[in-house]
Amino acid sequence: MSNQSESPNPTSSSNKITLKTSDNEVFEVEEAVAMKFCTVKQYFDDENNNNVTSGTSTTLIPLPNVESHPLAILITYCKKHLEIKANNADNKKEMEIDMEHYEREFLKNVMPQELTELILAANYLNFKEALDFFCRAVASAIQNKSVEYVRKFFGLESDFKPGEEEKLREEFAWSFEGVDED
Amino acid sequence: MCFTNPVQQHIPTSGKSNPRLCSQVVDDLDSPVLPGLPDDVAKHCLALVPRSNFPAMGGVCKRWRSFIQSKEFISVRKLAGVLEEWLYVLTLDAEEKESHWEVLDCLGQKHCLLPQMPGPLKAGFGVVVLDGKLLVMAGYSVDDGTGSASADVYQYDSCLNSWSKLANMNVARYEFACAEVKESLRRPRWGCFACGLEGKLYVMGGRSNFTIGNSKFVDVYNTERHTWCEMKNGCVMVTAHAVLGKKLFCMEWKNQRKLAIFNPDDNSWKMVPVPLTGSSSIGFRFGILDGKLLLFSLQEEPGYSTLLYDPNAAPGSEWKTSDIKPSGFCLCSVTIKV
Repeated sequence: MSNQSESPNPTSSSNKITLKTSDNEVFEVEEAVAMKFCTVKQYFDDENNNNVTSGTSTTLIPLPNVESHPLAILITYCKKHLEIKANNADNKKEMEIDMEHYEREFLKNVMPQELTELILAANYLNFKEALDFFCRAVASAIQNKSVEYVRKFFGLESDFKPGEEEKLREEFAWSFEGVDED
Repeated sequence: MCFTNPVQQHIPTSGKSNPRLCSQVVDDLDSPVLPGLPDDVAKHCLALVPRSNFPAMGGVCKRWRSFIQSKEFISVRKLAGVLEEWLYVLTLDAEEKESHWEVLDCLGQKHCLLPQMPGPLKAGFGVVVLDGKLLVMAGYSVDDGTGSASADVYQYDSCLNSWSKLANMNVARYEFACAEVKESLRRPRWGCFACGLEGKLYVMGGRSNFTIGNSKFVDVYNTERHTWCEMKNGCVMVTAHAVLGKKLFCMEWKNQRKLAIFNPDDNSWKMVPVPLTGSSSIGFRFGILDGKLLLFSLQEEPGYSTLLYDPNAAPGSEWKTSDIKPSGFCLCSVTIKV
């Protein structure tokens, strides 16, 4: 029960919570990690309210909308997030720098198609920080990119008529910054 | 590399049961903003992209275009806390023949020209900003020596960087007042200006058919109670005005060396002297950027730097000079935050 917690977060208890994904994989996570998933927290709080008398928390929380692959990534991200936060509890600036560095490295290992899965999972779990981060990653895939690159990246097709398209091109030839190489 | 898997479960399949519908072009409003993502999340993603990218994003597909020009887009950006403020200045070139709108970013840097405003060169037009769009209304133009008033309304979409023509006004006008809240006035008035402050519309300056000379009356319209009232403490012959925060800043023709600041809380005026810079003949146009008032020179004064008034600065240090300077004379300016 009282294994040494991996997370140096002093406020985290050693309680474990079990999550079960749609593909029937079971994850045992620190309570502090699970509580960052607001959907899980909600479920957990409701359960606790219903079983005030039972002191043991052997709750298994089913996540029918989340697959194991994105969940594993989200748990890793969440652990790191808490760790960075705990390490820089009294220095917000340092925390942001560390977080930015970690997020940059993190994105190098994420394939574009994984991003969709991660966003859907973070959205369902209501894990705000992660959702925010992934949305920013999507935004940076648009920033300073050519229209063709953006269409290809997101699997979108132009539905403008050829004449319209030319006219639009004149409009967006104007821009403050240049366009990156595709 | 592709954002989505080749097999896409999230594409609407409503056309399946009807093969004839399948061949039709999908309505751009039915297609997802980003394939594979719920629209609210996808919209949040698009809203996080910096403002200078919007014109290109509007060229990706119709769905994106309609979202980027919508009021909702600005709401989503506001909610995400990523609104960017830009200043648009209508300038006149040295020969006073051609005018163009130029845009400065939130730091007042990177001058960039807007596409040419449609229609003939005009004076005495009305300018108002509504939902990230600039409306240039009516005005007076001279064509082959004959002057005429116009009822044309042009709209500049600051997100898509494009001009379009809207429906004409009912009446051709010039030298009129306009502001975001509009209602009819109790008595005719001309040469006046209007501004919205704290949900109320203030109409000041100019003349009415009840007064000789300039009217000191301020017509105030309360948009909640739908009533008009008047006060007799207005500025006369106002050459420049701007609303900043919850206050109205005016420059009177008779005293170009003082700012008159109107506080709607107690309907009081405060006079603030303008520091001397260069020639005393300078007239000003106002601009607003980052919560500060900019005083652009009306004339080309080689030594003049734009004056900046910061109403929230510590007493004594409200005035500064600023590097923000349009390339020509400033005819009018607006600030658009999207």
